[in-house]
Amino acid sequence: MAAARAAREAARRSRKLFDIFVAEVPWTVSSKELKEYFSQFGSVQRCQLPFDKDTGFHKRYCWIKFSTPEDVQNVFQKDSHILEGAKLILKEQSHRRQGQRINQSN
Amino acid sequence: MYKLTETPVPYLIIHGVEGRNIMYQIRFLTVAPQQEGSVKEEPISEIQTRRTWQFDWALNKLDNSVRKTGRIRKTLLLKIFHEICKTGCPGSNQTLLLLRSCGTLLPEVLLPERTELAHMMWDKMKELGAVYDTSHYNALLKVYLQNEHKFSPTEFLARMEEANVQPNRVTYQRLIAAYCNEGDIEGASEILGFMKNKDLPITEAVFSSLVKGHARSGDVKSAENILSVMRMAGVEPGPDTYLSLLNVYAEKGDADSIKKTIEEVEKTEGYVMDRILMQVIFSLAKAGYPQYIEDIKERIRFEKELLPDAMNLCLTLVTHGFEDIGFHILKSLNPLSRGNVDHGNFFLQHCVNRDMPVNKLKQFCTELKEAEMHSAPLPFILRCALETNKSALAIDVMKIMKEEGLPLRPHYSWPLLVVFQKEKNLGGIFEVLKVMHELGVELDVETYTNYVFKNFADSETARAQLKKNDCLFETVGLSVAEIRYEAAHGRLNNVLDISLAERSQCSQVFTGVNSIMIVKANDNYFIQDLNASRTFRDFFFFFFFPPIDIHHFRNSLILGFKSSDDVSLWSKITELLYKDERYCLTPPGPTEAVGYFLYHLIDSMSDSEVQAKEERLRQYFHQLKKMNIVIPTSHYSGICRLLDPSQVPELIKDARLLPHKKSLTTDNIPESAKSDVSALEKKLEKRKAENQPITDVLKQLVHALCEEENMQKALEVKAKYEPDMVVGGYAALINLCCRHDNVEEAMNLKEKVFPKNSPVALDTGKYIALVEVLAKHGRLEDAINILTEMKEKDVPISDRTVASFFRILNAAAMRGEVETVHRLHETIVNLGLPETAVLHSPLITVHLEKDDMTAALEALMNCYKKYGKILQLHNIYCRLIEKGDADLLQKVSDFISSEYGDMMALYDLFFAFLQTGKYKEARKVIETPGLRAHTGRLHWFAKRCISSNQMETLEHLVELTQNLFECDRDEMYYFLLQLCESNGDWRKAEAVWTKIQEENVVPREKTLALLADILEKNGQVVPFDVPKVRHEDSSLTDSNVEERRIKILCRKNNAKEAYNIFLEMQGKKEFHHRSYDILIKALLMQNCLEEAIEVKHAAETHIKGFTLNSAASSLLIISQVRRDYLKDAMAVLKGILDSGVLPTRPAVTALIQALAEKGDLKNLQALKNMLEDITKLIGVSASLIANAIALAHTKNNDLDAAVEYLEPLLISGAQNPDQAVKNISYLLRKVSEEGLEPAFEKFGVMAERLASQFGIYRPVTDLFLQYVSADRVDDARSLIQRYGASIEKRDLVTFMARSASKPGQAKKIETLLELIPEHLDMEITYRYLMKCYELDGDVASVKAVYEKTKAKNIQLHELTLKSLAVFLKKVGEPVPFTEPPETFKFYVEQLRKRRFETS
Repeated sequence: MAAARAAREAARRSRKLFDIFVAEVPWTVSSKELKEYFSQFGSVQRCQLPFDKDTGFHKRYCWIKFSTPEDVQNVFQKDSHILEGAKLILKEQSHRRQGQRINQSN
Repeated sequence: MYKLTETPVPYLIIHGVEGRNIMYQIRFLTVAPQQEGSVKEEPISEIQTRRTWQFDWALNKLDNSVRKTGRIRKTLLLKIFHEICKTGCPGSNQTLLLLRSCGTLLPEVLLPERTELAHMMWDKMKELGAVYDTSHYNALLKVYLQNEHKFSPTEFLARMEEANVQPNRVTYQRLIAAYCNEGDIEGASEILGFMKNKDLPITEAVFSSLVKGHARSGDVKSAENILSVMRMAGVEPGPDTYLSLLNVYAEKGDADSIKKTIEEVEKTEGYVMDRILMQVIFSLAKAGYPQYIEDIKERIRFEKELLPDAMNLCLTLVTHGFEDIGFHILKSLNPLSRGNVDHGNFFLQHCVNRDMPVNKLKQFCTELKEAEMHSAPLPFILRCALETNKSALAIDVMKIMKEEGLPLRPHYSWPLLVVFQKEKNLGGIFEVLKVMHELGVELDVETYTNYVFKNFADSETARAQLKKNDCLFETVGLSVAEIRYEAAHGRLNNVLDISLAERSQCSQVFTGVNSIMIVKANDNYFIQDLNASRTFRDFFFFFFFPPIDIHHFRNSLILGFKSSDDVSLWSKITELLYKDERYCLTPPGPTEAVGYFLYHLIDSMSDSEVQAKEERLRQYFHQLKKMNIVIPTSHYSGICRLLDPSQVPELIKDARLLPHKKSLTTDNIPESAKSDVSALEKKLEKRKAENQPITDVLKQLVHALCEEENMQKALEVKAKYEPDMVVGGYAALINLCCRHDNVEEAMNLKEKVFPKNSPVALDTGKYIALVEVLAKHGRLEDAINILTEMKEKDVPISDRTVASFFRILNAAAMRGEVETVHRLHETIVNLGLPETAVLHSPLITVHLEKDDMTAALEALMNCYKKYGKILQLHNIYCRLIEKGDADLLQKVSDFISSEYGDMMALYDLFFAFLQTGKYKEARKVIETPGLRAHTGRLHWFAKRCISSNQMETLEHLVELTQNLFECDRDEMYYFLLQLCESNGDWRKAEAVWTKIQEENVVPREKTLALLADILEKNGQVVPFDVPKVRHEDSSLTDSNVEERRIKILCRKNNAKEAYNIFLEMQGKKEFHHRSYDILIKALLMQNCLEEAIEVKHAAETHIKGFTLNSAASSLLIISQVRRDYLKDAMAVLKGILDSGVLPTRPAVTALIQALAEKGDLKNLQALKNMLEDITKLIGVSASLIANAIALAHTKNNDLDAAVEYLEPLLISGAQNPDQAVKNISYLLRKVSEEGLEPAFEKFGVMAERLASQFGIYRPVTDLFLQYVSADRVDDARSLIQRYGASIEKRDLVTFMARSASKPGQAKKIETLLELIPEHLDMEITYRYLMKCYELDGDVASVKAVYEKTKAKNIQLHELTLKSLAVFLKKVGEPVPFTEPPETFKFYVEQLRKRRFETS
């Protein structure tokens, strides 16, 4: 049961079809500011910035989806991303690369 | 003793030192104590698991907080207190932890409040049944002292007596401190009298208390005099004493004496005074002499490692109302700023918490900004105010922000709205809406949806109320929120009404065109033609279904579905989704889109929701089926996986209606047999008498005798039936002779049956046995010949072989045979082994044995140069220290510093001083400013002490690391107790217990349990409440001493002796599950398969359902494969899989390869089926299994079958990434190495066919690379002429990387360069080529390659240059470029990062 639940949880996480995971988002910005910022690299389709309904603060991370893979590449061309004085931590979501792993026999 | 922790000054160690050390145990405190005798078998509810999880999280946070900062937030502490109370009766160390935290770890809380907290917790936990022992009373005393709480020591003692708790040394010390705080020397003397009567040692702590006591009684002269008194008593004044004295002067405002004392101490003692000086600053502030602070402050070097302490000083000052002094200190920390990080957050936050007036806050903000310490202090203060629900302050700060032109955003209001919502304070909400409006912030749809409307029954009421209270501001956000809100509540009719009513309004706002509706949802504007759209279907068009990608409305739709029970409505909408192409604009089409939607719908439902709606969902699926709606199989399986934990089998069955169907297979597995000497003998004689062939039986008999270790008899049998002996029998005999040291016979047999020039080879283990016995008997040349033969016959070499080589080399080293070691080592290394550091260490050991330090050091450096490994360093250090050879010591230290950094060098030196008993020197090393705890290194040394039973050394390690930054104190004491346990030394264990209290460490449950165990086993009373141990297989539940001895012996690699104990105890005692695992694993490591199996049988008879753990069973499989007991190995594998344990990859790989070599298709197929679902988990590639099966066909001379099997797999593998049979490199390598040319050709043709007909290029790439590996350059060239363009770059890089991992492979890369330069990344290729030549030690080629890169203008990576520079220096060549300055590790990381970023 626990394992199945964990598997389900894992599936839940992995299915996010976003391009970029952004952490350490400063509390002062909302998804509007994030979209504005990332629009300089391409067309932002979605930006999901979850808020904690219990505190009214967001959770300091968000997901971004761009229209094309090139937009994503543009983002990662830049060494560091600073928004309102805070350095954002960016991670590319892995779904685009699936199925390209190298297979090796021993 | 240098100890900051045991001091009489209550506020003394506010900062860091003590705080950091304490609370690592917390993450172990999570067990809810079970009521014994009433253990019910109940599934843990989800809520409870969640709570436990949160509790864990809180404890970890607390742990981190203390370790990193030396403080705890009160809220966190209270949260943990409540959690502990909720779980029922708190455990002994839980109570200790909480009490312990009520002192200086709370610098943000006022002193009386802290004591109150401690008392509250004490009483509450007592009510819950907590049992208090001496450690708790001592902790409470400490809290009193830290909080300057006035109390009567005699009453305290009386209370202890009443509770029947014995005071100990620590209790008395703290009581003396309490008297001295009040200047009551008489009281202190009385306690001193007690201590003397009980013969307790008077430590520095007592004397420093007395310094203070005398001063506070008004007698500074006597206070000063204590220092000489203590010296006379043989106790050196330490930092505690000096701090006490300095505080005395601070309280008197005697700046001159402070200055004089500091200077004196600095001169004579050489302490780092910084932490002490910070205490003095606080004393000066409290005593009202702020004018002297600057002078002290200037003496402090605010280095990085001082930061937590300095921060705690600032906080304490603010708490006590000295915020300006605190701010002054804060500004001195500025030079520590790195980069453009904001500083002072902790300070501002604390000011907010202490309700500082807004003007003061504004002033701090301005100053921080001017000092460029903080980029945005005002928004930070706003956040603090919002977090602590200070709405008035938040609003004031927002006003200031507006004045200063800083942006204000809608979501700043949310935390305030949340609070008012919780309080059901509508007035508050209206107020916020008004203020935000006044501040010019237009609130958005989220604000209304999530934080405003929730307070009202429906949006209509909301609108009316807002209007009534003058805060109805007509905005787009408000309108859209109204629609959304009603939709989400399933009030579809309301939505329709509102949407129509809003229509005109919104249109006016935006376009003025009546037929166009503009809706803002998810921050996107959608324009929708609404002309005459009144039907249900159109409503969905309007609201949920704008003609855009499904994900924009998926969530709303799911929400709508979940709040509605109308199945036909669900189906209709789904049908719409499926059939109306407007909603599936994205390429995959409706099947995908609906599948995806269904998946998310199910995913959004909890287990209980699914169960509640099971019936409806089933109807829904049936209706979808009727509508001919089909979803992809992958989505279907995803849905089944989601449904699986919900326990809805019927629903899962119905879900099958949605996709196409699929089939599955299962298989079985064979079992093993056993041999028996006497039966075999009879059988043999009978056969002989009947004149039947005896070869097989004879072989079995010889094997059986070998297994029984009966050499005499085995040789007799051999002599008797010589003509019928087969190769296998001889091999077993040779091995047996080696084991019995019969070198002559072993060599005779070997020369006779397996001569050097014959193609027949022994297996690796037998060669090793021969080498070992030859080396042992001084037959060096013979041993080298055997090794050379191994190389010539290409005998496979595994990790085990390497371990055996080490054993052989080390044995020679221990005998001090320099030449033997060198020659054997050289021959062994030339066998082409994988990188193994351990093999080189005998090169150093041999010199240590001969006590030739210069040679040993030289060998150490040589090893580093040649193999990049530092070996035997600790032993060399120790020996040099013992000999007092300062020059060589300096040399080795410099060397390590330059290669690994100062920290490593310091640790090495520290351990060596400890090891050699030079504790004073060790202390100096470990107190080097800036040195941090390095867990790995500390563990290494502690474990070393335990396994070699060095109590004194270990004790000193524990003591000297007391003030080491981030040192896990509980763990250090746990090590001590472990050693006490091995020695059964309960007295020492008890002393450790007192030390733990003295240092104010809260032990983890594990530690307490171990301590209790030691005391109990030795018939002592346990003076505290024993925690219940969570892990049943922890070492504490060992049934007896023997079991522990077995474990210790196993840990020391003495499996044989452990086995002997096991045999003695067999039948008398049963062991614990884990002990069997450990013993079996240790036996297998020593190649004692039979013994291991014996133990396994015993375990299986004693423990029902016994299964070996993964590591042990994998080792077992590997051992069995090595001995060719493949059937047994299969049985073991099946057994562990059945019991849900996963084998390791090497075990599975070994078995697969062995079966393939044997051509055993049946078992391979069985194995494949067994592994079906778990190949990925184990990490065995699908390609390997497919290759192995093809190889098995080949071995059975059925090439057609091999191709027929493999080819379709490769074709489908190329199309389906999940079923990834892609490469054939293993197969090609095997057939090529074994010279199976027809097979190689056949697979080559297949590879080319796949390339030319199907466009699948991986196999042909493998073929090409195999040609390159086998140095068949012409074949490779001709292949590349046909398929050159299709070679995959990635495969080439992998190939080169693998080539560059062992010596002698440069040729391969050179060939690639020759054949396909246009396909190669030059930088990478030359990097690997260089590495190959470096591995070969080929200086000329290395230099030539470098010249070539220069000529071709190829930019080499720094790692390559670094490696090259090191190589050239090592061989004494000049380095023709600037060596990159950083360490290897740095560049490796850099490269890895770059690769990660670009991949």
